[in-house]
Amino acid sequence: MPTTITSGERGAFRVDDGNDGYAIYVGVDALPDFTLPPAEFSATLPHSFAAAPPGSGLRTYNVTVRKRDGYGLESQNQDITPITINSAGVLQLPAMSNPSRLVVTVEAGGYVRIRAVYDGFSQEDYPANEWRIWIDTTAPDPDVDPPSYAASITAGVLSLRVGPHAANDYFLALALYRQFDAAQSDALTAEFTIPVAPDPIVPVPGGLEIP
Amino acid sequence: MPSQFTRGDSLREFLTGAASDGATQNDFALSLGGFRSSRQAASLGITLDNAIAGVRVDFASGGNPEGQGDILAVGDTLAWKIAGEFGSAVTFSGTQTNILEGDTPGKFLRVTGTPPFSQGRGNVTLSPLVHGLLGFAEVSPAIATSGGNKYRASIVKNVSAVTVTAFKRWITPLAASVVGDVTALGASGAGTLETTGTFAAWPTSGWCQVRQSGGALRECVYYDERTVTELNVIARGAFGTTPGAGALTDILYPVPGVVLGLDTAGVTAPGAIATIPNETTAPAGVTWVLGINSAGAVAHATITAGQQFGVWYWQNIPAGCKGTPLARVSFTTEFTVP
Repeated sequence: MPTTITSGERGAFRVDDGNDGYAIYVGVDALPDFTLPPAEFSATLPHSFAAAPPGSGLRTYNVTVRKRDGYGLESQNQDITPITINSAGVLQLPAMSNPSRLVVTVEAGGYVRIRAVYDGFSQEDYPANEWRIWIDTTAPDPDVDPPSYAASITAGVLSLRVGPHAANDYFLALALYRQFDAAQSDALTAEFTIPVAPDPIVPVPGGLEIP
Repeated sequence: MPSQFTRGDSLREFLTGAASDGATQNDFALSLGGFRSSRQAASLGITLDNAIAGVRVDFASGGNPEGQGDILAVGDTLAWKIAGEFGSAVTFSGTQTNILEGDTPGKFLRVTGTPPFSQGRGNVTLSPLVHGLLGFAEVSPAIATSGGNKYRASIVKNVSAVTVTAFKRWITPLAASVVGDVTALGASGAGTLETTGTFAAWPTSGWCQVRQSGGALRECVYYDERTVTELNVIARGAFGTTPGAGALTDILYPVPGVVLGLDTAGVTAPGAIATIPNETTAPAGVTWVLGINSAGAVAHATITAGQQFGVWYWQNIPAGCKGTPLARVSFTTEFTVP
């Protein structure tokens, strides 16, 4: 009895289009939809794209960047960076965290070493970029007074030696500053005293010279 | 007891480019016509887990789906199933090479077995075979950017002792068809094909046949992106088709980037078919077939025992081809054995 055989032949190939880069998925007031083609593609980062402002209120662009290779394979990054703008197109950044664990140590010569920690540095999407320090003989107002010292934030830990300061009682304030939107965190405060420097040490006369 | 060279194993497809009929030639890229190689063109990759002692899987037919199946050893018998029920158990006596059919005769393994077997189930995973005969070589960035064509040839031989009839082969669509009932293509140029249906199961980029509602081929196009309801078409007139305005009743089929045609020599005794000097030279006189069912297939009515015929394959890469880790190629083959 004749039998009809239905089978097949199969194969597959890869295509390398050479378009290594970054696929950028954007969700407007919603999470990005990874089943759709990416909104933007760029061979390199950083990359800029237009974000239309809302007619009123705020609009949030939720952005996810995935690495793509020439075969179209993408990383599976799920992290989202929210970018919120107002109706004027001005970026509305989330609040920064505050510094913590302020320690002030008086050192020789009227110098002061200031130590502090910025826990949010590696966690926040828009971290502060500057330590700001006020030192004065009267309590400084960080919202009004210009800082006495400023230092770039390159890590989440501050260890800065400042001075020299004349002998006196001092008030110190420490805050974080974000240059992009001129935002400043709440300040930590401390007080310290620079002591009067003791007289120089002089040699003790030898015994034979004691009258 | 289906032994090898019977049933679905009656026709075997081999590489070409050998120095003489059946000589050694294992390079897919040199399968450019001429004499049949001794190497059979595999369709699927085979991975064994929990393998059964005394069993070697030599070949998996392209009629099997990708995925995991089971060989069941009971006594001196073996049976095969994948995406269905077990087929008939086959008894082995001494070292034999037989075929194990699944629930249809086209879903088979060619297995060499030497009982006694370890008893129970062994897992066989069948996976896409990348860059085999039908997969051509990896498409480079230069070709993906500017486009290109490649050609290869195989020889299908009736290795059985009987006459095979009604051979047909056609392109297997890669997913279900969709009616492009929202937006059709214009007379030429890039455009979109949009549907109220869904492209969700389609490849994220690839080739699409646009057929009229009656089934006539209108055009083959290439899309580089898709959403669930829309294809972004960047290349028209693939595989020598002629761009033309579509209609909202057109039916869209996702198809491979490879088509086929029969060698002009037809069915012959073993011997050389036409040759091409390199992969980028088209064979002369071949009629390329884009059929997606038996009515549009290449066909040979009769292949007697020992006879052969040549099959040519054409890979057409459009300019702007999108990178992909797996562009599938699939054909359906049908024939009758007594």
